[in-house]
Amino acid sequence: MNMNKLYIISVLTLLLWLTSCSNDDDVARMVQLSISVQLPINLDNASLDEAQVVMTNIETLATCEVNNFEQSDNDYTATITVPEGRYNIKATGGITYAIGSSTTRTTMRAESMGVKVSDNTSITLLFNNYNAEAGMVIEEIFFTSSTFSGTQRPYTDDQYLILTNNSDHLIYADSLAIVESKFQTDMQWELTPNLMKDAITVSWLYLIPGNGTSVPVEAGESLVIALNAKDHTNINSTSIDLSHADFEFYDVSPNTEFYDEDNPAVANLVKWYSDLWSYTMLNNKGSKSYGLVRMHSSNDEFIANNFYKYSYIVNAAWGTYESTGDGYFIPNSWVIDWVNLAIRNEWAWNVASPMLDAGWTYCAETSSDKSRYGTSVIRKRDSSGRLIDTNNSTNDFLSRQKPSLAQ
Amino acid sequence: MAVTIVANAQTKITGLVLDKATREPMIGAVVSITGGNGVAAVTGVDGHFTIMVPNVAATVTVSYVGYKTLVEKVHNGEYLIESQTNALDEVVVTAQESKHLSTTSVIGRQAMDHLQPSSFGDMMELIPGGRAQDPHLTNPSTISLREAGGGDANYSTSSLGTSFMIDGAPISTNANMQYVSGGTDSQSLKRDFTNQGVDMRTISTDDIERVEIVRGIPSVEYGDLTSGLVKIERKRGGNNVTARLKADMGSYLFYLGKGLEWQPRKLSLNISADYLDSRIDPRNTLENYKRFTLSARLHKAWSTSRFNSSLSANVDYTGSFDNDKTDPDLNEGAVDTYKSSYNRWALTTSFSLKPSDHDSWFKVLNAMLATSLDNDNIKREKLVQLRRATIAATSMQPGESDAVILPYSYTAQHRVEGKPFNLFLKVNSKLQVPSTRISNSLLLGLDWNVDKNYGKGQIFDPTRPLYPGMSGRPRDISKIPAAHTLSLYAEENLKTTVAGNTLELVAGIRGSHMMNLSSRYAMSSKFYWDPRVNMGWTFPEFSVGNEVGFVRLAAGVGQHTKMPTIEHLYPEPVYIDLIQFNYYHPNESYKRINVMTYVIDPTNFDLQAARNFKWELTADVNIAGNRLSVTYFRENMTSGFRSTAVYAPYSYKLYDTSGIDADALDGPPSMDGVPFEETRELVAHSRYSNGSQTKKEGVEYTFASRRIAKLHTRLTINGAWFRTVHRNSVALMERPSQVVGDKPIPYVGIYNDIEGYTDEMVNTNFTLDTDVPRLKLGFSISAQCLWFTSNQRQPISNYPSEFIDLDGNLHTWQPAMAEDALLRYLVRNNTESMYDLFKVPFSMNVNFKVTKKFFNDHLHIAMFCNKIWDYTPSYERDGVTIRRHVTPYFGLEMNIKL
Repeated sequence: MNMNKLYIISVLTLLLWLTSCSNDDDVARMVQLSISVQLPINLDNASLDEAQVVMTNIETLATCEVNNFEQSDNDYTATITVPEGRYNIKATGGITYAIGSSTTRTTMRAESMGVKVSDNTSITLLFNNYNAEAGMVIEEIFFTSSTFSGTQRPYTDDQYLILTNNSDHLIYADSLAIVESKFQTDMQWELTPNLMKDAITVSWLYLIPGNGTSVPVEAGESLVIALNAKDHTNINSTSIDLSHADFEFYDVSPNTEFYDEDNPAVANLVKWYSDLWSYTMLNNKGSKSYGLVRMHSSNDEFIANNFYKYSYIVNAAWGTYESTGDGYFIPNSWVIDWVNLAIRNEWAWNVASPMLDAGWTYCAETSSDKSRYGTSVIRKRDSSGRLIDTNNSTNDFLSRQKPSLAQ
Repeated sequence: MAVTIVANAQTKITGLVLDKATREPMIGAVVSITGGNGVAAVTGVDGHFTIMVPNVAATVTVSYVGYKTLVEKVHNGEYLIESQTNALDEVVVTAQESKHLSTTSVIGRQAMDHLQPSSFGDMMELIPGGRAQDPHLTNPSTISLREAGGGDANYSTSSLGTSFMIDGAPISTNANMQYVSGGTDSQSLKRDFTNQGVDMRTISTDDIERVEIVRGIPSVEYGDLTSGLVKIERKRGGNNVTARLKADMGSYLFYLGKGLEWQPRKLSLNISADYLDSRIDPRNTLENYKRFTLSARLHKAWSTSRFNSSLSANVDYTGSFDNDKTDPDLNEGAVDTYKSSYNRWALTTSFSLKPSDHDSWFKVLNAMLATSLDNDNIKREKLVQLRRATIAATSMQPGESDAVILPYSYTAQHRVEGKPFNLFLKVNSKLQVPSTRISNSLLLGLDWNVDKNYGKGQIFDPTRPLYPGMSGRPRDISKIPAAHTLSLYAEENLKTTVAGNTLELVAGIRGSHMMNLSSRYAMSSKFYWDPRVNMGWTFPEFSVGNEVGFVRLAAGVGQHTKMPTIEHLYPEPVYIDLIQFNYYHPNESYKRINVMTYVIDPTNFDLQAARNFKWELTADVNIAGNRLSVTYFRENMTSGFRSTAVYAPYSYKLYDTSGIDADALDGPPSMDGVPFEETRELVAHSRYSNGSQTKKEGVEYTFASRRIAKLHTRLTINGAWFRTVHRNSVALMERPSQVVGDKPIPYVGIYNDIEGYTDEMVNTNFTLDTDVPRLKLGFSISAQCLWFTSNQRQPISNYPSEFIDLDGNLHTWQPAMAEDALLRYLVRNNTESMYDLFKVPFSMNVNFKVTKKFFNDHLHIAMFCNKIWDYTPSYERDGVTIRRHVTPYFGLEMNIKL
């Protein structure tokens, strides 16, 4: 998820601050280096705090920390003296910025590997607020659900998502959340205020439970998130055995109309919010989009701080009027992966910033296309077997696939 | 009639003044003796007068405003006076404004023949504000008087409160409970007209002689209504066989009637049958409507020296059948049918007694006993195909019980059986104080109405529900007590002349009381009093050239009361089922779902009758046989019946089943020892209240020209401006839908306003009808202009006035609460632009109708084409072009009269 190319490079800085770096006994030529970190230019009223750059010499493994940055426009720059050589450079920091009328703070990372440092080198690191954590991706969304065998009658309980660790290191999946977009890709609205460049808006949010290290996912491993974790083939032979899913959605409700099954053998996702008091399902036409989000707040803080009230213009057949709605926004910087889904012939817009997903994928050709049932969207793999993630679902996904968990 | 001649004494003459065309008795006609001084007599309620004349050669003058003055040699018997407006053999093919005080449209047989209706609903075209509509006979049709826009079922008190009387007997719908409980499908919903009054499709028109639609303030003789009265009089006597065959684009109709009359014996019998077959589309055999009616009406009159009396006995059957099937080929072979049958038998007997002596104080005694019994059935059968795991709570008792896990596929059968019974007894009498100055009568009467339903109600297997998830249960409605209403009324009717002006006054009061109600009902001790007054002032005739004109101003004001229906008074119990123990096991037989059931009686014991207050002003201008009648009216009904949601907290145990050892089970787990948390939830049920306001305002006008002799043509212009406001009149509850954490928002807002709509319309129908007697040809062209219709939502508050919490406690809303993380959901999202006015501009349809008689009037062929030409321009709204399409509608019929 490298978005650096999207940033415009700005001018380097002037003020110098000398910092000495620890060094081993080898005497290498000391050179002066100017490091600047750039904030994403699309943020409003952004300010950086706790900025730190750690430089690791590839040969000596000697490290040096830089944290005295001076601001100039959108850049924060420091000048240091280090031994000449190749370095891995990692920057971290917190950015506080405005989304609509509220302010949010998010941690940022940037890195640059194997940078050759010689005299008067200047290095610019771009803080990319969309790539806070590489690695965990949505590999598959089986949102259409299957049909009862031999019919076109949907059986909706067997929807699932697969989340996969696409990095080469272990990732803890707890506090990752699965969210559904508030807006539909087949119905475009002019929103006021429009937060879409900075944030997604969700209609529901379910969190993978844990204490931070409860849900380890090894490199290349996956989590299956089932709508209802049971062996559906007992009910419908063409369905799927989801009894071994890692997590399931469960909506506890006393209402008999919203009855939901809770398999005690499969852990439940933790419900944080939903627009509707009902049982949750994925939109089986594909007019909603789904994302994976790393939450940076508690449920209460989220409810208190991320409320989003908007107005929009409805262009109905009988006229145009303004309507209002509310939902919850999540800063793009919290988003780990986002997949726009659409009905192929009814796509109107993408419901997230192109930084998160510049394309969309689908199963249904039209909104009444019954052939969509029993098909899934699955992320492509490259020749090495690694999942492809270019933040463009049009390229990254195979549409109308047989669900990977189906027999 | 005896004439006594005494030498040198005066002779007593008894006469009867009748309208020459209609033979209606003329009340308040002024009779004077030529050469005498002033008024000798005024005709009474039955049109009779008695005068003393000095000699039998005298002449008398009979005058009546709007009629040609009659000068005749004095005699006993009839005096026929002729209207200035209508010639004797005038053909009237439009609705006419009644000459009585209350604003009433009168539709005669000729107008119906020309209109070519299939059911009573088609006649609505003729009343002010009406427009020809394509008949949609596959849906029930209810009446809408003086109303712009249609309210939803919460505003149906207007149609429920329009009373239909056939030959004096009401069509009661108070015990109609033919709805599919819990129904969410369009097949059931669109055919549900419970609490909405009479389905006009069921009334066939061929036996009708005359219809009066009282839009204004009816006599206190008529009750259990808020909005209007439809009086249907059917044919009596004659010795003809009549047959009618009609076909139009959606239906065909066949009628056969025979009249038998033995004039010397004053005995007549009319029998008839009618069959209507209608499809939603001529090619669709799956969705249709059929009607079958039979009628036999016997009339016998007796005359003795002291009394004239008559007895009528009518036996009627009406069958009305809706069928709706889904094509199995398009539905993967799945059964999905809806059948509704309505079978009504009615027996009406009425007796009338009049003294032969016209000087008597006692004028008439009427008594009527009308009974009807229905056998109504709805049969709904459907292959229910579930998409996800679904349960059904089935306990009929309150308390804890296990729910049933539904199979994924089953055939659900839901039957609704209703046997509404109605008994209507009516006795009244007219008394008159003999007077030669003031025509007067006092009407005293009472009626007693009984409604009861002997049906078995909602019949289904709760373990195989038609609407899975809905907490419905069967209900036997035959256990509901009968509803009795007793009403008393008195009305004084006066007419007198004051210096050439005529003053008319009808003032009465009606009291109604519901009996057989438990004392818990607030209505049980209540008498509703409806005072109603209509008065008119007719100025003296004036001359316009050679012609005569006169003007009448009239005003009316009155209260109207509609009693709640049986369903309003005894709604079906509500079952609130709360899942408290939800245990899943891969082995289906080890699953257990336990629910806590509350059985709630949703009866609103504070329910009151719906009341509508009306007033109106009418100007009636007659010049040279041309008549213009304009009425301004206002009606306000704030207590219309409404189904409202009532939230309350219900407690249940939320069991934590995570400790159950799935492997140790050999059956569903026991709930004993499983830990639980006592919790509560806010749950709503619906309850009837008097929470709907319907406010009507408008102008109705009818202009009818005299027939222009050379062209054989007459112009009728009628139309209306209606403005109707529908809104809730009591505070209502609304709950936000959001879930925070895994709990729904634990508050319910109480809002003073939930909805409000203002609808407006202005229309004018220009009808030119031509009648060429020589050619036996009549045709009409009607240009029906709808100048505009508009709809505007009334502003409603975004903030509640109060709210309740999970404990049921009531709190006052404070503005700062809008910032609270959870309470802010009680703030609604309505923007100013939702209150924009939506206006649909002008459109015009032209309808053409023609009738031609052949073979000495034995054969009569008629044809209509509605919307043969139209002007329906596209219009723009917010930059969007809205196109409108109009399709013509044709029909043809053949009538044979032998």
